[in-house]
Formats: sequence, C-alpha cells, structure tokens
Amino acid sequence: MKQDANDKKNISGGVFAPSTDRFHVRSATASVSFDMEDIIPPSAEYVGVDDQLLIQTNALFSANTLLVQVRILRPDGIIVPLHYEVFTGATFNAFVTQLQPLMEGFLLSVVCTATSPTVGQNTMFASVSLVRQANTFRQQYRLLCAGYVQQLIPIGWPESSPQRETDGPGYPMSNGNLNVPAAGAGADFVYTVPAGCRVRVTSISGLLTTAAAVFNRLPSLIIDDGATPYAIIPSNNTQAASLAEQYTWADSTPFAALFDNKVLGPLPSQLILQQGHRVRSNTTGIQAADQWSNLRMLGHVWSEHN
Amino acid sequence: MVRAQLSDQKNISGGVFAPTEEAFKLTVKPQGVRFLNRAVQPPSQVYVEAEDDLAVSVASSVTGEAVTFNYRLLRFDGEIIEGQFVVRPANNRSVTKYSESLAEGFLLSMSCQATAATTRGQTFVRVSLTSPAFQNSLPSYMLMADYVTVQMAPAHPNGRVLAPSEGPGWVRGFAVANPAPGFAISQAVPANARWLLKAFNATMVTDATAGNRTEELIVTVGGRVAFQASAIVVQAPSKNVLYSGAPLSLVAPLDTALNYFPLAPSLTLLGGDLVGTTALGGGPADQWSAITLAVEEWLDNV
Repeated sequence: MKQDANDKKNISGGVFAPSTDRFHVRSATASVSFDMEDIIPPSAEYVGVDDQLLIQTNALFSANTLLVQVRILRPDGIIVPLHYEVFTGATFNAFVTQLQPLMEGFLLSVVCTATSPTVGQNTMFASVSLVRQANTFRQQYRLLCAGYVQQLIPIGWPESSPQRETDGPGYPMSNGNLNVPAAGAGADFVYTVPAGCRVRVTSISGLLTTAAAVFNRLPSLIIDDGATPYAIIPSNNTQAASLAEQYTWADSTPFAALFDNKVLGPLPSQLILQQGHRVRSNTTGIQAADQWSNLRMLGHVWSEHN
Repeated sequence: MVRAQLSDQKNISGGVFAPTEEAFKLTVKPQGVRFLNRAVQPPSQVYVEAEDDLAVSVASSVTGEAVTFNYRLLRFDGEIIEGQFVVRPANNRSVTKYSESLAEGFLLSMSCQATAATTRGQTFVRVSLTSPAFQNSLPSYMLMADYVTVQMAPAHPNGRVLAPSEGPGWVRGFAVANPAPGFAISQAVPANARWLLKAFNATMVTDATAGNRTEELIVTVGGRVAFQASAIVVQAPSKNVLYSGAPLSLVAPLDTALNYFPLAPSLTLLGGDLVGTTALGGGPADQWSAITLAVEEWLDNV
C-alpha cells in the first residue's frame, strides 16, 4: 500500500497533491490484454484463388515504369511480398494494362511508385484493382488505388483515396513538352489536344512574319471542338507586308494595341479543352510566303481516358 | 469499504481537494452489450513485421524547422510502445529521410507536428512502412502524406495520402534581390518549388540617358519564353516609376509615377523557370529595386 503523502508522517509542512490511489486511476496497470496468437487477419480484403491483380497505367511525355509492391498474408500465416513492374513504352499517353496472378490470402497493402523522378506531378497515372479470372479488364470488382504517381510520390491501398485522371492540379506544360506544331508557309498554325488528354490553356503565342506581298493581314484566334468554333477572338491588329509581329492571347488579359511589335489579346478564363479540340490562328489575307513561327503555349494538362 | 475522505481529519495539509467519485454516482441503464477485455484482437489493421521500418521523408522551405513524430506500437507481447523522434529538414526544399526500426506488432497510430511551418505549402511529410523484401526502400504500406504545421498534426489513421502540389499553398510575397544597375530582373523559381504567379511589383529609376524605356515582363518556362507583355506606357529618363503586374483590365495610369504590366492568371511555374523583365531602350544606371512577387507556393517533387 502506498504511503499517504498528506499523513502525519509528512513533517515537511508542504502541501502535496493527493495520492493517486485515492482517485482509483488505473493508468499504471492496463486492464485490457491483447490476443497475440489467434489474430483475425488484419485486412478486410480476402483474395480468392481465382483473383488477379489488374494494373493499368499511362504516362505523358516520356516512357516510365510503374512499380507496384503488394503484400499478401497467405492462409499458412506467411506474408508474401510481390513486386511488379509495368513499362509504359514511349508512345505518348498510351494506356497499358497488365493482369497478374495472385494467391489466396488477405491483401495487406498495395503501393505504387515509378522509376522516373519526373518533376512535378500528373504525368503518370496508375490504377490497381482486383478482378476475377473470368472477367475482362473492364469488370474489376474492387478498385484498390488510383492516382498520379512518380518516384517520390506514391499512392497506396488502403490509405489513399482513389483519384480520377482529371483530379488534382494538373501538370504545368510549356511548348517544350506539348508542342504547337510548326505551320507551313502561307498557312495558319493549329494546335489539337492529343487523344486521352485534357488541357487548360493559359496563353498561346506566335510570331507572324509577313512577306513582301502588299496586303493587310488580320490575324484572329479560333477555338473549336474539332469542327465547330465556339470562340473567335480577333487581335485588333492589322499587319502590313514585310513585318514581324508577335501575337499573344492570354487568359483574361485585355486587348493591347501593337507596341514594340507585340500584340496582346484575351482568352476565355480557365479555358479547358478536351481531346480533339483545337486552338488555331485564322489570318485573313494571309499570303503564300507569310510564316507563323516561334509558336508556344502555356497551360496545364491531365490524362483523360474515357 | 468506504474510502477515507480527502478532507477528513487526517488531511492535515488544509488543502481543498476534489471530491471523491462517490459524490458523482451515476445511474445508467445497464448495457446490453459486453466487450472483451481479455484476449482482445489488436485494434489496428497495420501489422508490422519484425524487419519493417517506419520511414519518413520531410521537405521544407522554412528555416529552423523540426518535425516531431510520435507513434504507438502494440508489441507482440501486448505492451504498447510509444516512440518519438525529430527530423530537422534544411530550408532549401530538399528531402530529408529517416527510418525508425520497429518491433513486431501492430501500429496503433502515428502523428507529427512542426515547430516552424505555419501554413500549407511550407513543410511536407510522407510516412510509410518499408520492408527489406522490397529493394531501394520502396514503401510497402503508405500511412500518410500531407503538409504539417505548428497547429495541424496530420496522422495515421484518418490522415490523407496527398501529393505536395494538391490543395492550397503558401501565399507569400517573395522578395527579389536588386539586379546590378543597367540590368534586368531575372528571378528563378527555387528548385522543388511550384509557383502560381499572382502579381509583380517593382520600382524602376531611370538615369539621364536620353530616350524612352519600354519595360516588358517576361516569363520563361522550361527554357522557353512562355509569356511576354509590355508595360502600358513608356518611361522617360530620370524618372522614378512603380510597376505593377496583375490580371487586370488595364488603362493608362493617371499617376505618372505608376505603370502596369498585364499578367495572365494561372501562370504556374516549376523550379528553374524564370520571372523577369526585359527592356527596349535604357541607360547604364537604370535601376530596379523593391522587387516583390506575389506567389502561391507549393513544394514539388518532394
């Protein structure tokens, strides 16, 4: 029995807190004991003998390899680590699908990373699901995890919330990684959103060099769905022969008249384009030897496979 | 047996103590459910093998950061082990890694808290389990990944697994060092940072060299010029003018000590991209000063 700190034997005269036994505090000795021998498998995901792992991935811009780490608690109590690698190939944004066999047991965890330390995020999308052997890849019965990954940014099951391809901040792109194709002489430039992508355009810019043929050129920008225009934006500038003037259309900016050989015009705010949509110049009076060049675009891109 | 009252005659200290629990007898309806308190299943889904490590990575842009990690592990013998360690990342957004060896058991919880970061976008933490079964310290179980501050303590369970560029960032004024006289501004986005450029502010004092100056704002992304816009009006010699850049509908300023750059919203820049100026005309002693960029910043690639 503990000594009472406040009893008569305390001759110091100090004021002490009451001893803990007076409050029946039970923190010193746990009342609960845990079973460490007949443990229920620490997973809600039973993997049957016919189940397989479906891995799907795609990468923007460059080839990458998806790394998938899986742990399964086998019926005999052995935890089996499994490691899969899925190479996306160099084809832009191609969708790669792999089916991998599993073993009966309880799925403890799944983690996806990638080999490439691509700067930023949203360049490689991955999803991991469970399917029954008889099912096709479109009949997964359990989505485990889905999201953008890279070498330093993993996703996993069971902790990650599954994402869609169009979730998140998008990947900042410039002309260097999502090109506006060069235009031929006497032709307007055309940028088409690639298949399996969604693009938000912040600005698009090009240099029009006019030939000696005397004629007034009137550049405008057209945004369409591949056929039907839904925005036609003039530059408010007339360019004569033998001049080089840079045109920039940017999100929400005002029209600015020609100044230092530069023209500024607006784009619709938060302009989001789906695959096949186009941003193209439309130069009334363009001459055979006129040339659009120095084409560049700034925005964000997401994968978007329907 | 009735316990002794704290305020009875034996209490010679004279102190006033809380009343005993008998004074608060509660009468409740008896429970219909009874719970195990012996041989209870471990209250965790996270089984830790004997060779597993708790692996953390921390990156920060603030000086003097120290992130304290706390965890509780139900050891194989039924004892709850409490662990704590501190990781001190550099303020250059580089990743600092640390691994803590764990005993076999069940991870009950972990959480972390910062000592310097006060908002999202400053200090990012990622926590996982690693197993030697997977080479190169690849994670075997993701526990959480999120920003941490002095008040917000992300945790497992009930935490989130996020990328550092998700969610709100750090809205800040970034002070740019003055360039030498006669030189333009050129500020690189720091490595492992992502900026949303919101506004630009700087003062240009022109020398007596004859001729008007046309100042231009220039944004370079991935080594290529991605946005370039001229100021609304020219600046004459021997003038002191404050330039502002913002997504505005611009008109020529009535105050000749002011000038504007049009600036597109949603200009998102990665590490190494440049925000700066260029000029048409100028003098050897033209001087930019008091340069501030308003940005929303995230850590990136960490």
